[in-house]
Amino acid sequence: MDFSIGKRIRSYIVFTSIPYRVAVWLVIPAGLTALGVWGGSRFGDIGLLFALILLEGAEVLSDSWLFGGIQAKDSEKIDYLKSSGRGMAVMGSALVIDLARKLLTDLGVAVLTYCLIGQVKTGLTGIPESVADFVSMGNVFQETGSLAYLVLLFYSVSVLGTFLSRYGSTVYGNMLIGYGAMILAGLAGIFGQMLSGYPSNLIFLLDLLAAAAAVGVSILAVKAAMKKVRGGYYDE
Amino acid sequence: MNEKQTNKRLNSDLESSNRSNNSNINRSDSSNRNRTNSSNNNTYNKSGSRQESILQAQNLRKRYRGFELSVPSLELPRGFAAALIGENGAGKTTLLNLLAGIRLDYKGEITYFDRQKKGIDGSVQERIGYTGPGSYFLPQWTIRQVEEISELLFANFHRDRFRALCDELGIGTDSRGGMGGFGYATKEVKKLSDGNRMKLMLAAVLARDTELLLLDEPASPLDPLMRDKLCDMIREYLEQGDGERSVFFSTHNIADMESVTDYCLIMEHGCIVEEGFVEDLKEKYILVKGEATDAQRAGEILFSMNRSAYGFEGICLAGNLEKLVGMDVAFETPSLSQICVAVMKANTGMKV
Amino acid sequence: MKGGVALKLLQNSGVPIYQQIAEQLKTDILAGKLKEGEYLPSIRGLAKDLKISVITTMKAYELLEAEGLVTAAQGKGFYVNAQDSEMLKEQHLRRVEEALQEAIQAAQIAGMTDEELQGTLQALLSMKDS
Repeated sequence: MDFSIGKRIRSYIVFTSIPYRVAVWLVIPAGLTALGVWGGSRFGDIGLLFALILLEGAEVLSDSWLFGGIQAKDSEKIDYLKSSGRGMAVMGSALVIDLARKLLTDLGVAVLTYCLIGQVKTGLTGIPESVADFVSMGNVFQETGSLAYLVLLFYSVSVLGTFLSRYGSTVYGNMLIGYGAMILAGLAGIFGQMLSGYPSNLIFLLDLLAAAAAVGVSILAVKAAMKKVRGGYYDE
Repeated sequence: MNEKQTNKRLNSDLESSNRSNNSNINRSDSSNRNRTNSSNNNTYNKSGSRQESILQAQNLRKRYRGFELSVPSLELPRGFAAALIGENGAGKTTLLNLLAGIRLDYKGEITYFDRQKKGIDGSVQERIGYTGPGSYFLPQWTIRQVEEISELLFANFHRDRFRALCDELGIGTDSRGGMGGFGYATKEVKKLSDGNRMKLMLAAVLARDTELLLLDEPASPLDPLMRDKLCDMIREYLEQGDGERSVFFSTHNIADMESVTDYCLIMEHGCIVEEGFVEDLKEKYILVKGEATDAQRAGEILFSMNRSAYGFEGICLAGNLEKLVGMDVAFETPSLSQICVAVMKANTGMKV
Repeated sequence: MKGGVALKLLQNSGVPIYQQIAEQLKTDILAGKLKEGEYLPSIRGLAKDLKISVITTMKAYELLEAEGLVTAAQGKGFYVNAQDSEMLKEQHLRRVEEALQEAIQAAQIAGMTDEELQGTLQALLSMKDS
């Protein structure tokens, strides 16, 4: 079925409500960045991790708000979408665009927090320490590399978490998944934090792996979700 | 009541059932004519033909969780409201799900409208308005989101009609009763009562230009006032279609929908055990009331019977009426409800 | 409603609704309230107004058609046939007889004499003329 880009974006806009979009594009990233910076001013660069870990939980919860329970068996909730030839396209568009949004906000939060932590360290005037660090010789690749690793990894974990949360529609179940995601991400993040001291080859390799994971998990989330939703056409 | 009067009534009833037999013959002749016409010129007999169908299904079979649906042949007449009647668990939702394209796991074929192609696709679903038994919206959607999504999903959705319907049915209004108020944008589906959720489904479906309504238990969550309104809405829908539109709804309580039912299908254990136009069924099944002393003998003749100390009451097949000669009995036209109860009780797999 | 017909239906009278409709329309046709060539309301429109099912109005119309009072026109509905004035008169005569028979039976049950019955008839006739 021919579904233009405009219609796809419209699907996303319509599927998500204004409160959701405000929360997910503005409030949560801003809040997390603030938390990360606060943590960074207290504990140094580890503040970045702080923000990203909390991001996991936030992602899972906000997604369950939007797509909660759609992959559960015998779910009546998507029957309206199934009663139309365009239903699957609308649903798929919303899923994909929300995924892209995740990547963007993860990236945004990470970069902003990173910069602002540095800003806090150097004071309100002058170049943020992290940017200065960044620009100085030798560190560019390591810094971006480890940052990219963090973003991609955290993105993967959050997508995995939201994917799992779509099976259940209870708040508690989703919160548990959120916690699990946060722990997993935390562990990976600590490892990533240590990365900037590592040789470039290793960073490059890890980045590649993380990117692969991110792509893989995104495809999984969308394809598997659509398959589950399409499976709703079959009772057994 | 003396025997002479009983017999006289008996004879006149036999006459009327003969008359209906004759008119059956006439109808089948004209039906052949109509069929040929419609396949050649694609014109429809707007004064009312009973023979055209909006939907045909063959050899429908579905088995799951120990339940089996088996409908060898199904034909819904065009231009009328048909009721699918059966107990809970009889298979009504299963059948409607297949017809609406919500479930695709079945054997057999369904042909919609005049298409040669069998089966359902987006273009067919565009012409069908389906409401589900519970609520088929995502619970966190607001009424406005339902409106927006409906526009994305269906090309024939009219926003103004949707809003007018929501207003008319009393959903989405704010406390002052105005439209577009705070409630419209923020009232979530999960916060609506069962009745209001059904009204929302109905509003979404009636706001579109469709040719067939498939409604799964629409009356169940509604209060009596709203059930009456639902019947009015169905009649209005049919009138505006002028013979081109049809309605197929399921119910486990036919009494509420009797005044709008033209064609009736009774379902038991996944099979259709009886079907027909209501007026024809009312001539096939006669309500008989008689004395307690005759109950024994009557029990062998009647299709189904209740007896008490005061007498018996039961349904008799028109063909068996003459066997009641000699008994002190009164005849009445049964209500559709009484016919359904009798058929469902008798359920010996007896067709015809 | 078309033709200015008014229909009063009794739900529990034991007479099927389609028959009540047919009889009342028949009366109107024979009385000339519905003119020759005039179309009856559409079956679905009538069903909507009377809050009954379409099959009932359709059967009522089919009954009228079987009795030769109306004809079905492809795509347009049912229109009133020209009524034979001879047949009309005969129908009315028959109805008078039936009504009088009923009156006689009722009088018997009430214990009226033939003279009393005739007297009542005279009184009613003179009331009608005045």
